[in-house]
Amino acid sequence: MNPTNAIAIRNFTKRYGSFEAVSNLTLEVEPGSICGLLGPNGSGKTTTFKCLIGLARPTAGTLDVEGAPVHPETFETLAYVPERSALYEWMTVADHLEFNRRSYKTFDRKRAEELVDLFRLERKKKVGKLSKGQHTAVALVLAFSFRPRILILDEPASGLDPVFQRVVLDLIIEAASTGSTVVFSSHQIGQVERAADRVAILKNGKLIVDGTVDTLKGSEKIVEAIFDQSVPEVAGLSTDPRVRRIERSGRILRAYVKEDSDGIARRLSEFSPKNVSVLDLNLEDIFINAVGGEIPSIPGEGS
Amino acid sequence: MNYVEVLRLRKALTVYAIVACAVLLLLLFIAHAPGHTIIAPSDGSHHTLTEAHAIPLSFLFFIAAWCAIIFATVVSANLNKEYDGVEMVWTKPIDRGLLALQYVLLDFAAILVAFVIAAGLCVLAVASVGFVSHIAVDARTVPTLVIGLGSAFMWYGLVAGITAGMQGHGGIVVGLSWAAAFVLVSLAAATRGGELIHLTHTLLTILDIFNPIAYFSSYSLSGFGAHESPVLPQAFAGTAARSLMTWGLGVTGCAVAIASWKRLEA
Repeated sequence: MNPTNAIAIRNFTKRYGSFEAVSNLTLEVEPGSICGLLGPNGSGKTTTFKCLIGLARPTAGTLDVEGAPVHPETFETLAYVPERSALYEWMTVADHLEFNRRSYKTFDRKRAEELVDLFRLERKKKVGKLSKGQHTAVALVLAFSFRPRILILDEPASGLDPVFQRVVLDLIIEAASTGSTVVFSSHQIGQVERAADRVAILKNGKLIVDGTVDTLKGSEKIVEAIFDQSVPEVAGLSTDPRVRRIERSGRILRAYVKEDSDGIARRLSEFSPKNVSVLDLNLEDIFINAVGGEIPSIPGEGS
Repeated sequence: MNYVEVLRLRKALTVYAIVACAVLLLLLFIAHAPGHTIIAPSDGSHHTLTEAHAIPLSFLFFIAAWCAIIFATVVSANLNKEYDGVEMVWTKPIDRGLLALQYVLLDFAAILVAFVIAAGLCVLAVASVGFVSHIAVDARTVPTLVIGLGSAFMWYGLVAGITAGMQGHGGIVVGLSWAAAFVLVSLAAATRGGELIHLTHTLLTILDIFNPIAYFSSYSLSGFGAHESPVLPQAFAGTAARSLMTWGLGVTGCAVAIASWKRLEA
């Protein structure tokens, strides 16, 4: 354990009655880094965030921010954007900014105004009249307006259109470039791949993948062979120790290869495919491999 | 000071003042109608107001305190309401207990303002019919003020104590508290003196210890300073006991509310 970690979660478990939402999670995030927390719905991401910032109590384990459990002063330097809107519907955007100005010593009025303009928000409009995406935008304005050292963002691009999703990513990357630590969850894997230095994947409350994006992407290759006819039976391929998984889809065969991808490519070339290529994994492949592998078949498409 | 709670109370007091002014205008309309003014004093009897009568300040305070009680119940679930935005308030750099205490103190201040508004409007109403010089301080003025505001604070504290640890549904508790308060006090009064239902009456008066209306109603107002109440146990009937109980239960309820809110999880 590195005592200088911005966030250190050790043996964290959270139970609700007999249901274990998170099981024995250990995760560290270095200062100035961006950590993407991925997982299917109900995998324990939000529960982890809530316990990390003291909104809920852990059943077991410790969750430290900058070396200690959160205390009121921690929030001078920590911003949290929740998954669901926690804004006051009856208050205006300007009221929320004023609330933040009075709450944080480091509130930056100029920065807040810039962000309001960036997200094209109307200051006098009541939050109850804003769209879901605008709710998210207001929450982001509030979070980034006091230049926190740590940002915990639960689905920070939820409801935003692609243009503003890109803006959010830029804000995250910019914050990290100035030394802030960002932990964020998202179902938009492309966003995580673009922004995160490190990825942790949760499934059923357990950490199943944890590593830097480059390491994870380099851990496997995809050997993809496209055939003119249907995919032939390649004897011994599925039991080959170099191959972790095989995926067949129409005339395409994909082998997820742990080592010697060129050797597997040569092997497939013996079956006269139209084309064989060795591809890098992307984060979506890593995610799908980790959380279950099989993509449900679409009815009526040959299933 | 909590900005959100200040805004919320400002909004609530504005609505309250508008409603109170509307009621005042209605009363003025009635008062200026041909004939004379009828005022129902605290003991339930009716008097025709003439220039020979004094208007007891305690009566105006009685009306104002009832208005404050209504306002107190409106704001009593404010901590409970915050559950909807708890991710917002609990991630500010302030101790959660201190924040809850700020809410309670601000709410109490607003209840006092509600009382002052209502008392001021009562004086205006009297002045409008030319009897302002007839308003006189009487022996019940201070007890009415202390027990009236105490009852408002007690009601606030009890509802806050029950609802602060709940995840929403505070409005339902407020509504039920009104129904329970009226049912309890009415049944306690109705069962008084009946031999067969003595046990029921005793039980109802014991339950009424936690009923703000039992300390401040037309039943109890007549008994200020006396040692008998149709709706409260004997030991709680005196002015001092009523004052102590209302304020004591209010403070206890607020302490429970703060502790419950601190323990609540999002």
